[in-house]
Amino acid sequence: MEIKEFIKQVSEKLHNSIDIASRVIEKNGVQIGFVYLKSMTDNSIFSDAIFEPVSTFEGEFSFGAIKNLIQANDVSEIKEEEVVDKVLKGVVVVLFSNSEKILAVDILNFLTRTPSEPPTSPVIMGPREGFTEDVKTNITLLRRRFHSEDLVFENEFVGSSTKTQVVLAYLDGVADKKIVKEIKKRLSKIKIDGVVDSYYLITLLSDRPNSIMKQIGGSEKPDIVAAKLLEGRIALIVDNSPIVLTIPFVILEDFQNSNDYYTNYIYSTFLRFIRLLGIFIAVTGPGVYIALQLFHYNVLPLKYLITIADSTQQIPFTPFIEILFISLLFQILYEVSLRLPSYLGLATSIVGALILGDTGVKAGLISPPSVIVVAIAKIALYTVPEQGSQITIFQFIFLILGASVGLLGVIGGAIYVIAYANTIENFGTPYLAPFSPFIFSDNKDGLLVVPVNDMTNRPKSFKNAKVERKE
Amino acid sequence: MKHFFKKIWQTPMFLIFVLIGLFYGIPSLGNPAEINRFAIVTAVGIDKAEQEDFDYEVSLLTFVPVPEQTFTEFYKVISASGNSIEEALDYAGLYTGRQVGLSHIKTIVLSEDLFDEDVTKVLDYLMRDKEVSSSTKLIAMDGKAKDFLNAVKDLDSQSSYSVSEIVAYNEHYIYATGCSLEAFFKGYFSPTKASIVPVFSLQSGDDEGISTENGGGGGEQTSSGGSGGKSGGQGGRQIVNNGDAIVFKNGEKQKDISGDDIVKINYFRGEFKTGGITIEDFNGEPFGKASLSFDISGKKLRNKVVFENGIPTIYTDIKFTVTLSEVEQEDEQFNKDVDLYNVTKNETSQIEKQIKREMAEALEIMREAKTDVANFYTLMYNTDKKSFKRFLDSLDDKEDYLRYTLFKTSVRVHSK
Amino acid sequence: MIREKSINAWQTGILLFFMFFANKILVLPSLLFSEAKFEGIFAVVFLFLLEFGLLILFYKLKVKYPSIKFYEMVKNCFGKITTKIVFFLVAVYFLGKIILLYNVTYIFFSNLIYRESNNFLFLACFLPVINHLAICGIRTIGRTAQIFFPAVVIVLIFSIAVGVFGIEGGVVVEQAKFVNIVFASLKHLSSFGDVIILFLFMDKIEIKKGEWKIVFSLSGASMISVLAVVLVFFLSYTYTSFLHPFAFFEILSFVKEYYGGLGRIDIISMVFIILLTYFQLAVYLKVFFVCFDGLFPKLDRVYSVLTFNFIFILITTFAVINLSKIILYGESYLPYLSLISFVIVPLCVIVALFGKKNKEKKE
Repeated sequence: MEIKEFIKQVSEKLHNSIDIASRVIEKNGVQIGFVYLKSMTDNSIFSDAIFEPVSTFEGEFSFGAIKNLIQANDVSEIKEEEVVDKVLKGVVVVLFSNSEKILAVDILNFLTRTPSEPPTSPVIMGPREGFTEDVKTNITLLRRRFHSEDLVFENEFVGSSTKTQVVLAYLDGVADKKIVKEIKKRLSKIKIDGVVDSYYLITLLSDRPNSIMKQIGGSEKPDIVAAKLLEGRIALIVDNSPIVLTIPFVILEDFQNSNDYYTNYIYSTFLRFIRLLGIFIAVTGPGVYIALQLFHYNVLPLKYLITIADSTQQIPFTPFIEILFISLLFQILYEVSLRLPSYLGLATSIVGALILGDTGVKAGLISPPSVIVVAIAKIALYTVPEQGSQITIFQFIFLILGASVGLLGVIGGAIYVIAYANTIENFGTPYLAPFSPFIFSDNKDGLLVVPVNDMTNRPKSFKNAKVERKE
Repeated sequence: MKHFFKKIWQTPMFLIFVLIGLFYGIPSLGNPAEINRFAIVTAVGIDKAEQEDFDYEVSLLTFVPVPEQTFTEFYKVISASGNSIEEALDYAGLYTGRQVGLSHIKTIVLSEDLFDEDVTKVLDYLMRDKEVSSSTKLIAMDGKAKDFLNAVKDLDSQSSYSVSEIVAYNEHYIYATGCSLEAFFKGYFSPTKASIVPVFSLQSGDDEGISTENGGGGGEQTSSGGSGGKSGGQGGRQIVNNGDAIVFKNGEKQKDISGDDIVKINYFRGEFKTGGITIEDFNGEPFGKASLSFDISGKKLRNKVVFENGIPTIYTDIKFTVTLSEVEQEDEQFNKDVDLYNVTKNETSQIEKQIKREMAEALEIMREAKTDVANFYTLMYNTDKKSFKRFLDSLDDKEDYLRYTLFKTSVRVHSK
Repeated sequence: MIREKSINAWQTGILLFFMFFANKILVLPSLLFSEAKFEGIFAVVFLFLLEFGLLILFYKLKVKYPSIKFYEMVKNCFGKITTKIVFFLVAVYFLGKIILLYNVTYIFFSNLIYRESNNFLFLACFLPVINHLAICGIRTIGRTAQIFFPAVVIVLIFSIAVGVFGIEGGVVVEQAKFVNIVFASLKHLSSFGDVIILFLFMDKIEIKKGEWKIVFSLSGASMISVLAVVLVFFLSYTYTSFLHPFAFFEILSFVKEYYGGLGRIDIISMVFIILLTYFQLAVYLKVFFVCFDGLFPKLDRVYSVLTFNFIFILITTFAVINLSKIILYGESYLPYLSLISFVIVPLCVIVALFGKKNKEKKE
């Protein structure tokens, strides 16, 4: 093999990218070449484990001798056409002038985050690790929780440009094979140039991709994913994404929080009801308030009516414009505080609090009851942060319904939305299970939470290979 | 984009929601709050119109929103006349520039001059209007209803005492009686045809406020003065609630009943009302000559009807639980705590005697007025329909059945 | 496209639970009182017994033929033309029921919830929702009802419990004549007989052997609560019941003084009635669609949706909406049509139950 020529071909295929590195050692007329990406490999390991042993080797250069010489644990033989692909994946390719065989040494190393507590789901008492962007680390995090031969990881690659690694994880004998098969089928059908984050897959795998409803679960914490695997769900670990997807998904999962299982079950039950109440207030609060103001003043208690009447007298806007204005203002502030660096975020919150809470009211531009209603609704939304985006949209829909047609519209809208959610069956799983259809055993971890020793069955909301939890 | 529109077209219901938003949502951007379109009325007073062209004058105690952060309640009285209540309410709307919102009415005040004809004609509109709750309190006025509303206007505005609360309190107190729109009509449509309505009156005094005078046997006096500030043209009038009531029969005024008599009649009425009883001329151990007041903390009423020879006899058995509350001795001060005092047989027998005497008086009042406020009719009817019908048929005046009914009352009093 | 799937015992029971209320708790009690005084309640009991009979009939039929379509069943017994006639009558009857229910609630809403009546506003609220529910099928209706069921039960128990505070003892119960009761029940026949919706969906109802008791107990509970509402209403309003047309609403309205701080708690009953009305209209509409499919099996579903909406909008826009007229119409024409639910459909079923044996032998 003409090594220099070959290396030149490889780097031309990679458009002579600046991070391509190659090195050729010659001894007794035998050349050994190394090709790798500087950006993806660990330099010190390369020099200590590969380059130094080879360059100081005093014997005859041969494929077998060098293979034994390299002090790395992942050394394999590859074919010529795989070279470019391997180099791109951060493998050091070793070429021999006296042999057609090619060695691949995996000393992949790039900067990754260490597992830290994810900001989206902090716990008071419980494990604080979170997934990282590195798929290997993520697999490790899961594997560490299962010392069982049943945990299966399967590889799939998605995206014509990115060739993103998607790892299917499931418990053999627990997860339903049909669902695994279905997921693989759907993954293979995906035609897209690249998958940058796992969120891309949510849309691509959903039964009804245009729907507003979130149909695939996601978590940033290995303990949650492990629990879901135990229930018979299938996890999708996407490379470069700290969010691990779980399938099948029911809306109840977003009401569950890992904290629920690490505290007293009675308290957890109480919290579940609070979350339900929070969602209810968040979705319907502003809509009902505006409906009462525009259509049904007669049902308000007199004292409350007097308060509202007194405080809205000087407002120059009509109630609908006023509440729309406050809602949008809040949304703008929310967006700003999310985008701005944290030191500026403080400034915006001061401005927001001053504008909303004080000056606006004092100037007579907005009324205190409206501010209170919108603020409560917006805060209540984050009792279930996973559903935040959907609820925000529904909040506006119900606001418009309440303002247009009153209470009748709000209730009609609620029935419509629930009926709509009831038509969704992603991977054969009713979206609102276990509430409709009502599944008694699943309600042990529904709105009510029972002690762990009473959760004897896996969820029946979706198909499981094994329902009994106890062996 | 084309794909997107195709998708939307496939979900027609989504389109309809968009249409609702367009047709109703956009116009509603300009809709004022209902509070600004309706005048919130908390009390209605009905008088005979002073002008000859009209029949009725309706006065509305209306809440006026004031843009300030102290949330003061500020009220105004608006009056309008019309040939019917609805017409008058419509005219009132013209004066305020707002529709009259009746949904928060708490009190309806009827003027004295309406009582010579059937009051149900006046109340019919308010009863049938779906917005007016049937639990709205009804009171009669010894004078003009408009004056009453003017007198309470400032009370409602400036203090946390409101007339509706005073009226509602009547229901729980033995010295008075309460009446709601529903109760009035229930009495009107019941076989006895009788309803009892409390009467308030106005008295000129130095300061505005409420005073309760001569509250029957208790003899307690309370006076809660509102701040007199904005009296203006009202010349400082006091609302007097001394428990008087009027009995209506077939919608017409049948008899005035004084506050003293109400207490006596209340013994016969089933629901328990808190109150007390005073024995003025007590003489015995350990007080000597004294006037003793007792709290009645419980009442159990049981009625039984027996027809003997076609004549009904009602056996009324009342049990009272009392505690001593006040001692006024002539010679010295009582040197024990009243709560610890155990009421003796002597005292209970005196209370029993007094209650028995008062109940007999109450019966006489009812018989005289031919009104069965305690609803003995239903009791007798449900006990023995046939005998009761026979009994009624045997009477010359069927409404005077109470006179020919025998009563046997047994009163038992024991201490707590 | 959404596939039509079956409903289970719970969902069937809950749908029945909702259907038994219909307008029975709104205008019916007041009308019954004006006709038969306190004994009006016996009319309700009598009609409920009939309905329970229908339910038992359904049970027998379902046990014998677990998965047959109603259309097929009637066709096998009576031939195609008779079946079409029956389906046409049922379609007309349910259209009538939709209009009656819509108008009754329309008057309730425009009187108490909105102070200005605007037919198009109500249509804009009702039509999209009930069409959506009916198009999505009986399973979606059943499942959605299941979500709202706990709330409905809580409100119901609360209302009845609170209504008990308003009860006044000592009522003169006059003996109304038996004839009065019979006439009253005949007059309001159209408010009952909703069990026949089960026959029309019978192929989409899947009830396992041990689960029939759920259906029976839920419908029994529903009947008892309707009776309780009527009884509480009669006893708390006694002599003035006829002055209060919206029974369920008035139960809460009268006791609101106990809950002064909460304002008008009758908003709870308003929400309750709105909820039930949506579901009842949706189920009636689904029945209409099923009949339409039976009448014109080859037509696309779009036509049934268009037909209904066209007729419905036309009638509600141009017909005068007036409580007395609607009640008159409900009392004078609909009772004849309601013979469908009490005579024709049961007759078909009985024939199918006992007569079909011969046919099967021939085959």
